[in-house]
Amino acid sequence: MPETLRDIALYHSECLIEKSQKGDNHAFGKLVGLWFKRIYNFSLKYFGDHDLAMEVTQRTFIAVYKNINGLKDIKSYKFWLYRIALNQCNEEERRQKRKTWFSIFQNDDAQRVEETAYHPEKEFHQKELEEILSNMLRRLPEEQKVVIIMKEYEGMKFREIADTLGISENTAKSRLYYGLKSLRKYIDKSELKLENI
Amino acid sequence: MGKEEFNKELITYLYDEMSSEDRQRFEKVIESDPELRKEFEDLRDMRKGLSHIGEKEVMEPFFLWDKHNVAPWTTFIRKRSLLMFKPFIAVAASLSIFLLIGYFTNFSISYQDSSLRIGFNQINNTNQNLAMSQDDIAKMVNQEIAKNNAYIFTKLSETENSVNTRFASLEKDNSTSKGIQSLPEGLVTEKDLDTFLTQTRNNNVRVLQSYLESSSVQQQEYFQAVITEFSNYVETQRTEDLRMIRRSLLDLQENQQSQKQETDQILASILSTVNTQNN
Repeated sequence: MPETLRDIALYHSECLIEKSQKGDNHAFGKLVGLWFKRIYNFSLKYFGDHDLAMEVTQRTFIAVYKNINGLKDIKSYKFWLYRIALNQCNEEERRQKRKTWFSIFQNDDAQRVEETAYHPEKEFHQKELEEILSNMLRRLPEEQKVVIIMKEYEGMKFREIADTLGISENTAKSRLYYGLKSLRKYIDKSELKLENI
Repeated sequence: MGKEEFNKELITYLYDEMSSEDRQRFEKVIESDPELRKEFEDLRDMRKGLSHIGEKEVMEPFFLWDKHNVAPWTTFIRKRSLLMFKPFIAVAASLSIFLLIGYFTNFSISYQDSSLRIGFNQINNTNQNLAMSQDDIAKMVNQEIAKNNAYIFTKLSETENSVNTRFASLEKDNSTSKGIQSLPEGLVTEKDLDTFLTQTRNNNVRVLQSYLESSSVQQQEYFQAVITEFSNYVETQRTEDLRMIRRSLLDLQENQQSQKQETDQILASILSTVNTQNN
């Protein structure tokens, strides 16, 4: 039986998935209610854009609904859910790249990152700082970015990240290390002092 | 310890996934080497910086569950796939409606002899009947005037007849009521007076009777109206009471649902809190 609060919440999700697999739509609605915020925040950190994050979160739950009967090991639903979310993020990113190719405003985002990175002293407030860090996080290579989000914001263990991404624990650690190092380099270039934050 | 090995251990230490023994050993390593210590501090500060990116609150989508428990997600999926074709469907639907209306109203457009003709039913291609001659118009006006005259004449005759009839009836009434009024004063006999009094009395009785009858009918109507109104009032009151009971039941149901939602939200916040605490 579950003992901690986290275990209770996870156990509740497992029960909801079991009911959803039997066709209980109310249970599925509750499952969405439980996980919507988590998947949204995961997507938001991936894209840094509310609309895209909402779009990806909705697509994720549609995919979950379609494939819920294919989930054999209910206990591993968390990795399965994040894997679907990540696939949806990748798909959306590809879609966005195709759009950007046609857009006259291409590289606007990258330019914005550069601007915020070079003049941080003007925006040295909590909200701006958050935006600067989010932009920097988005500039990272996809595999490093995902590991950082999963570890830093989703609180996953290295074993869980490795299972979700289908990589070894060492690879996950290595990606996290290089991701943090790259972020540190961006920070140093921007003359933003982490010690002053 | 190689660089790659150190990096992995550094990360494991940084995220507190190291056993206590390994932890102590690793702390000694970084204490002994200022360069490694600097690297550790850099990454630790970076983690602190990242903690400034907070969680955003978001409203989950609203679900509608119908009586038959139809999956809203399937309809949502269907709607999404339909959305892609929405512009084409809209254009096709508009065209179909236009063609259908055109078909039923025999709408036609033709261009002939440097003239464009748009109309319903069949368009007459000849120009000869398009304009009317002066004679035709005069004939039409004369016909309308004749019709109007005939109508006025008929109405006048009817009015005249009605006036004549009324006049004749008045004349007749006048001649019958002459009896007593036209008699000279000296010629009124006692018998005539008795007859007149009897007649007046009878008339009074008749008038009184008719008054009583009409009063009784009015009273009956009044009572009926009062009873109907009272019955309507009772019915309205009953409906209002039923509505109030229904509203109370709905409130109760709503409260129950909101309590359920609160429980779900609490569970969701537990998930979030626990995830954040794990960091």
